Order: sequence, then structure tokens, then C-alpha cells
Amino acid sequence: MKYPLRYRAGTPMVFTVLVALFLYISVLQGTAAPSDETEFLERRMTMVKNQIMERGVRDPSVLRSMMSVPRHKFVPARYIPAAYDDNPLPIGHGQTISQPYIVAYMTEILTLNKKSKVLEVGTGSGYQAAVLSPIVGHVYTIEIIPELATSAALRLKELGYHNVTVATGDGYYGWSQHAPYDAIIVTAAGGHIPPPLLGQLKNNGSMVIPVGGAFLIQNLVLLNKDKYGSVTTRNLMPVRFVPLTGRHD
Amino acid sequence: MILPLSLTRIQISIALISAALISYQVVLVKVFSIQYWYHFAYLIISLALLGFGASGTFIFLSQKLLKERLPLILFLCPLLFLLSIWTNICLNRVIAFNPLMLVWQSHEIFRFLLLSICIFIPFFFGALSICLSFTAVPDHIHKIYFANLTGSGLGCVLILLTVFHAGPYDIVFAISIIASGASLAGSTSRTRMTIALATMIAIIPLHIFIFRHIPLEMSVFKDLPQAQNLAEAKKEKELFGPLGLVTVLDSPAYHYLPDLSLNCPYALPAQKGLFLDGNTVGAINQYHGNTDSIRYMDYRTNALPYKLLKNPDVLIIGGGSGTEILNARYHSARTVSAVEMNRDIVHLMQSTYRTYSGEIYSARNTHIVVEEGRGYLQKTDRRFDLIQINLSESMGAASAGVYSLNENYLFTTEALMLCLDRLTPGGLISISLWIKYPPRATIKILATAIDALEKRGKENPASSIIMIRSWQTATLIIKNGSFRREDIESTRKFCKSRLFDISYHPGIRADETNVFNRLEEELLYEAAISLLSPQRERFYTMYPFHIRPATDDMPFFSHFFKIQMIRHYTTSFDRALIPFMDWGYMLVWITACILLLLGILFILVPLPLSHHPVRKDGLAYVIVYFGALGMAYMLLEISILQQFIRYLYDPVFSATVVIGSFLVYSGIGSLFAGRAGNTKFPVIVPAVIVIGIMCLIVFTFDWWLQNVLSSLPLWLRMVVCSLIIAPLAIPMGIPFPSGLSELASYRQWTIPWAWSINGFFSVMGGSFAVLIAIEWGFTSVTILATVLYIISAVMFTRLRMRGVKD
Repeated sequence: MKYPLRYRAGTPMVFTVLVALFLYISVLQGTAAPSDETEFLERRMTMVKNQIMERGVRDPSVLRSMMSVPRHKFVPARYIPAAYDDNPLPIGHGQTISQPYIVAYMTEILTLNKKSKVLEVGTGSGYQAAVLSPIVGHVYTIEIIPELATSAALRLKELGYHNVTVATGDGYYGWSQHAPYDAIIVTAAGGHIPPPLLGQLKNNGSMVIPVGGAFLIQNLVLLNKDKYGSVTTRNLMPVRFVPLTGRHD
Repeated sequence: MILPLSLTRIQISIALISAALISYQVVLVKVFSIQYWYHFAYLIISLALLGFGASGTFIFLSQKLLKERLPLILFLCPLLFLLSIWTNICLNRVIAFNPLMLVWQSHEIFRFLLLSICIFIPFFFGALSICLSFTAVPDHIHKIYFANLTGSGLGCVLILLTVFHAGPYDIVFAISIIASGASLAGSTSRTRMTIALATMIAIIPLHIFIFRHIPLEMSVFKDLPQAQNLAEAKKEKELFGPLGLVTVLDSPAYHYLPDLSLNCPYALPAQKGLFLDGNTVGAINQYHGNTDSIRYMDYRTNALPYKLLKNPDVLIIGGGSGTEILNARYHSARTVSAVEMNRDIVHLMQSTYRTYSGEIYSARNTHIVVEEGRGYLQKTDRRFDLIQINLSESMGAASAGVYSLNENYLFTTEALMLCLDRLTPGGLISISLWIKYPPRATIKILATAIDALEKRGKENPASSIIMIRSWQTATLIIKNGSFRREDIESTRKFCKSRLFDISYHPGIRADETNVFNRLEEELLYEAAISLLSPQRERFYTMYPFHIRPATDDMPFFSHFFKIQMIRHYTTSFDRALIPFMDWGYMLVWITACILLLLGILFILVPLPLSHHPVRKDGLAYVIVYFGALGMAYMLLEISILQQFIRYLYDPVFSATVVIGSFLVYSGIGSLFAGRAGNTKFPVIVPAVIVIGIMCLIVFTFDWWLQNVLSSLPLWLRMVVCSLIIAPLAIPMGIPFPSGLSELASYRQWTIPWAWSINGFFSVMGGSFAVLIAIEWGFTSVTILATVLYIISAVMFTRLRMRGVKD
């Protein structure tokens, strides 16, 4: 029988690294950073520790990125106080910014590196692209709602995420101009994996698709293409389910 | 000049405001189903009854002031009701409540409370005039009650007449006219009459030029508003009907086919989205008659039955957007019968989208039946090679558990037994569902199928089941007979080339499962093995969700939440539990608890505040008598409503006929109460005996009634059902006015308090009926109602004895 992922042996060490990182960022931002920013940084650190690490995300590059991206700048003004809470938030037009843990988890399972070229379908506020930015080579992100695409592009530029390119368009057809991609994140699947996207995924590449309602993600589907181009999927629960099946084995 | 207010005018005013109240309640349920989700229906019904209860408490506390002002109240309250319903429509937009944020954002609780108050206020004003009439005219309580119930019955007829052609705002307009009519009937001076008449006239231009143009905004998280974000999306058609708002959306970016293989080499054609109350029904596929353009149909889990049958006669339950009809056509079905209960969808497919969809709803070998699926199965004597039941809800709604309180008479053991009866030897039933994680519906349908096969005398159900799955949907195939070796071989070949996994087939090994769409554990396979073994009972108990087969007595297929497992859920999921909750079910529990507290507050707190010297002796009898009556009436009404859905097979007609008949007949019963009121004989005793006997008859002959009624046309079924209700509902109308008359004779000041008690327990009855039915079935609900009626009969004799003593 499995139990939910809890605190693990490596946690104190990773936490120490994070504290050091926090101090480093604090020093960097130092005099220029207003006290608000320091407070947000503290809340980010708490978020990473309590919501992300405790649930099992371990990739240092992902944790670093989650620590550095100012999530409060990606949510509407009325939701700033709740920006680091453990839940999704509305960003207008019926779209949401995902729960921080889901963003971290999706980023980790794609096993990315500095050379990776990633396509994101469904830019939203740009938060996922910002988290990917320090980890990968380049992020191409496409958003169907023009208002969201424009504001996300502006926001990402202002915050200095220069390796992110935003476009307005129908993500169903992907972005063939920059294909193939090492990884694809689909945040607007709508119950259907578009075949053109599969075609734009490199062999040995991965695609992650959140499944559930428009607001609440229940599980993630990770699609892998092997070196011959054959496709398999894996269903990944964002939380561990403890089945009591009554088996006798 | 002051005009005298006759009893007849009081009755007319009460009848009209009662009609307006019940119609408004039904419309509000409709509007909330469109704007949010169905489970808010329970909240609205509860808040409406809370308004009734609170009005009683209000009068109880201020009856000295109000009692002499009945004419003013009868004039003013309908107008305030009218004003508040239109204010609500406008405020609803301003409040912009987002139920999905309720768990996390405190300000959403504030919005929710604001919205609840907005819903509550019109019912409070409406009920105020009814309750005050009881208090102010104690000698004619039964006549007031008759007007109240008959008016409510007429309100149901109004809904039945308007719901086919009018949108929600048009119905609200009709309600406004009726409410101003109530005010007019209650007016005692020329000035008041002029005001009431002027209001009635003023509503007409206001509705035509302003109100009807207020858009009905949906939650932005429903499927339709999401799809409206797509490129060049535009609503092409919008039809209000008795089963909801049907919308067709056009966008070149719209694509929908959930069970499509990842290996499908063919592109989807142009599609249009079809939505009901903003939830996805399916996609209308563009088709010009060239089968090469729909080769993708062969790459769906729903194509498997066609690999196991040759040129079958097919019955499709849930014709919807026509995808399955197209599927049958692609696979050369001999004949196709498609049952679709929403006549607006059928109309659209046969007219506006006839050419676009390749005339699939009008083809030569296709027979379209506008009926509920279970009803059609019940009355047809045809046999089919394949019966296909489709994904009946959108993924978003399925995920949020919003249908957990929906009765579904298609996914019960009895329904599947009926399907088996309608199959030719070797025929197949195919059912497709979304896979939710952790698996729930997929396991429950498997359990239901095994139960149905066993009850149809199949000794080895394991040989009659195949279940396959894609990355997000599962298809269960049940055979009327045993699968042969070549069937299994065909299934394996079919699945391998389409990257589908086989969760179960006769003789499957564990290592054959979980190949292409890998799960951490293949729980569907494990569930099938457990359900087909002697360990089934243990599996039902141990599995963290409710996956026992749904039955006609407990038809809540989408209810999975085990309240006793809540500790296990929180340990497993922690805060991430939130997306996995069955919110419909939880909302009923939350509502029941809040109302219980409010009920206590409204019933007990006013006592010390009353101007009257409170004599505590005998008050307990008043509480138990009126409380038991309120709860018993609701329990029985809901229970009969559920049962009669299986006779009428149309939720709208069923609700209208049952509720309308209950109200009108109970009104007639109240006249009997009036006649017998003067005698010493406690008329409630024979009334309760008749209620008990009728419950026994209706439930004993359930199966017989179902079979006899199925062969009758709908209008005749409605008439017969109404007549069956008469001998049950007439005696149910007797106890309440009898009790009030009893109080009027010696403790008149408690009348509004008794009304309030009755109102609150009715609210709780509504919630408890559902909660009891989910756990123990509707039979238990009926038994409890009968017991409560017996208790109330005992209490009545105590009340009468107390009266005599005083």
C-alpha cells in the first residue's frame, strides 16, 4: 500500500539550499527591492517549501525557477494577496493560472535542459513560460485569446524573459515554423490531442496535457515519443491516490 | 374610498401570488442551471422554503402590527416580490459569483451570501401575504390553504405551457403580470388599484425594451464560454426549451472527439459545437456523403462493436450531435434507430444542420425517436444487434462531480437488464464513459453490468464482458452470450493498431494490460477481477468510492462519495482533495446543516421575543406536529416524483405533473379538512391510514404500473399518473390546515410560528430526501414519510386534547 508523498530524507538539505538562494536573491535585490518584494520573496519560499518540495518535486532547476519567478506579477491585481496560495486563480476570459505545484510538476516531468526547445499551447498569463524560461533554451508560446497574448508578451518582456516568444493563434496547429520541439505543454487540450502537435514533437520528446475541468486539474497525461516515433501515454496523478482495493495478494 | 376585502379576493390574491412563487422557483432553477450548474437547484428550493419559514417567524414577532394590515400586505407584498425578482436579475450580473473559487477565496463566500439573500427575498415577500392570511382569517384557514395550493398547481401549468416557447425572462415577465394581478386583487382603494394596474401595464414596455435584452451570462468556466474564446467563434443558434438552452457554436478552431486514437492518421472534418446549458453535448460533423472523409470513425473506442458484428441493427441512446449515427453509417449498419429526448436538438439536426451534417438525422435507414432512452427501451418490442449508450456529460462537469445528485435511469441494473432483453442473441451493449482518476464511473458501470448479467441468469458474466480504454475514455462491451476466441482476437488487433488498452476480456492476463496508456496501476483490470470473484462484497466495502451498482431505487449513478471515507480522502489527498469532491453531494450536506441551524434559530429564538405570554406546555406538540408534517410531505413528494420519472420518462413533464397534482389535490384535501373541522372526529387519522395504504399500493405495483403505462401515449400517461396521485395527495392536504384550525381555536398567536416550523422542516425534508435516498434508497424515504405521518396523527390527538383542556 502506498502513502501520500510526505517529507523525505533529502528535504532539509534542499531547504538549506533554498534558504541560501533566498538570501542570495535578497542580497541581489537588496537596496533596490521594496519591502513588499521581500515579503513576496518570503512567501515564494514558503510556497516552494510547503506546496512543491513537500509534494515531491526535487529538480533543483525547477525549484530555483519557481523561487525566482514573481507569481504575483502574473495574476490580476485583486488576486495579488492570494498569488502564492495553493490553488489556481482566474486571470480573465475564463482562463486560469495553474496551482503552483502543478506548474512545477509539469515542468519537472518533461526533464528539460538548457538546450531544450519547448512549445507551450495556451500562454494564459505567461507564468508557465516564465518558469520554463531559465531552464530551457527557448520557449515558444501560443495563445488564442489576443488580449491575453498581448498582455503576457508585454509582461514577459518587462520581467526580462528574453528567450520566450509569444504569438497569437490557434494552438491546434502548433507552431510549425519552429518545429520540431523537445517538449510540448498543452494547457488547452479541451478533450482532444491535436494530431498536428504530435507531428511537431521530436522523437524522444515529451508532451504533457492537464486533464480535468477548465478550473481544476485532476490528472496529467504525459505523452512520450520513442526514438522510432512510437507514442505511449502515462497517466500521472498530481497527488498520490491510495487505493484500498481489498485485494488479498 | 376604502373597499371591503372579501374572502374571495383574498383567495384570488393568494392563488395568484402562489402561482407566481412556484413559477419563479422553477425558472430560477432553470436560470441557475444555465449560469452555473444543476446542483444549485437544491440551494434554490431550500432558500425558497427558507423564505416561507422566515415569513412565519416575522409575522409571529410582529403580528400585533401586521394582523390588522392584511389588505396592505396583500397589496404591497406582490409588488415587492415583483420588484425584487427584477432587481435580482440585474444584481446577479453585478455580484458575479464564481462557485469554483468558493473554497479558496473568502470574498466569494460574501458573494455567495449576497446571492443567497437575493434569492431569499422574493420568496419572503411572497410567503408573507400567504402566512398573514392564515393568521388574519383564522376561521377560513382551509379555504386560504386551498387557494394557496391550487394557485401553486396553476403555476406548474403555466410553466408547462410556456417552457416550450419562452425564454427564462419571458416567463419572468408572465410571473410579473401574475404578481401585479395578485396585488390588484388585494387592493382595497382606488389608489392602490391604480398603482397595481399601472405596474402591470408598465412591465410590458420595460420587458420589451429593457429586461428581455439583459444577457444571461454563464460562468466563464463552463464549456460554452470556453469555446467562445476560440478564433472567430460565434453562436449560430440558440434555442430555449424545456430541457435547457441549446446552443450551436461555429469556429474553425473547434475540434471535439474524445475517444479518438492518438494513432489516427486522418484529420477531423469541420465541426460545430453543440451545447446544452453551456455544457458540451458533442460536435456536429460536416459530412457530404463521402465515407472516405469520415475514416477517422474507425479510430475510436466506439468503433470496436462494429468489428465484432456485421451490418448490425443499431439502437443509439442519445442521438445528440449525430456522431454515433455517422459512426453507424460508416460501419455499414443495416438500420439505425436513434433516441434523443431533446426535441430542440432533433429539430436543429433535421432543419438548420440537415445539409451540413449530411442528412444523418433524416437518412432512409435511420429512424429518429424523440423520447427518453429508458422509456423507449421499455415500450419497444424490437430487438437490436447493438445498443450504444454515449458519453452523457462533459468532462468538466464529470470532473467536478456536479451530477452526483442526478438520477439516471439508464445506468441502473434494471435498465441494463432491459437492454439485454432488447438484444438479439449474440447482440452487444456498448457504453462509453470518461475515465476519471481515481476511477469511479468506469468501475461502477462494470459492477452494474455484472449485476444485470447475473440477474438475467448469466452464470458466468466474466465471459460476456470486454472493456477497453483510450487515454481519456473507456468503452464497455456487454454481450448477450459469451465472447468467442475470434472476438477476443479481433479486439486485440483493433486495440493494438489504435494504441488502445484492453482493461478486461475473458481470460486476460495482468501482463496484457496497461501497455499503451500507462497508469500507475491498472485499477480497471483489478476491479474487474475483484468484481468477478467471490471478493466482490469486500471490494465494494474497501474501495474508497461508492461503486456499488446503481438501481432504480438508488438511481444516483454519478454519486461516488463515501462520507465515511472522508478521513481517508483527506489523508490521501490533503488539500488536493478539492478537485475530487462530489460537489453536488457536498452542497446538499452543507445546505442541510446550515438550514438546520437557521431552522433552530428561527423556531426557538422568537419564542422569548414574542409579545404573547409564552406558555411552554404543549409547544413541543406544535413543533413535532408541524415539523413532522413539513418533512413527511416533502419526503413523499420527492419520492413519488422519482418513481414517476420512470412512468413519464421526461423530467420536465414528470416534475410538472407530480408537483402540480400534489398541490391541486392537497388543496382539495384542505377543503375536506374544513368540512370535517367542526366535528369531534379527528379526520387526520383516516387521512394517515389512506396515505399509508396508497404508499403501499403505489410501491407494490411499481413494476406492473411501469409496464402498463409504457404502452400509453405521453398525454395519457400524464393523466393516469395524475389520477394515481389523487388518492394519495388529497389526504395529504388535510393535516396541515386541520392543525392550524386547531391552534386557531385556542392558541391563535402560534399560527405563524407553526407555519414557520412547517416551512423549515419542509426545507430539511428536501435535503434529507436526497441524502436518505443516496444511502438507503427511495423506498426508505417513503417508509420514513409514512412513519412521520403516523407520528403527526398521534400529535394531533395530543393537540386536540390540550385544546379541550384549555
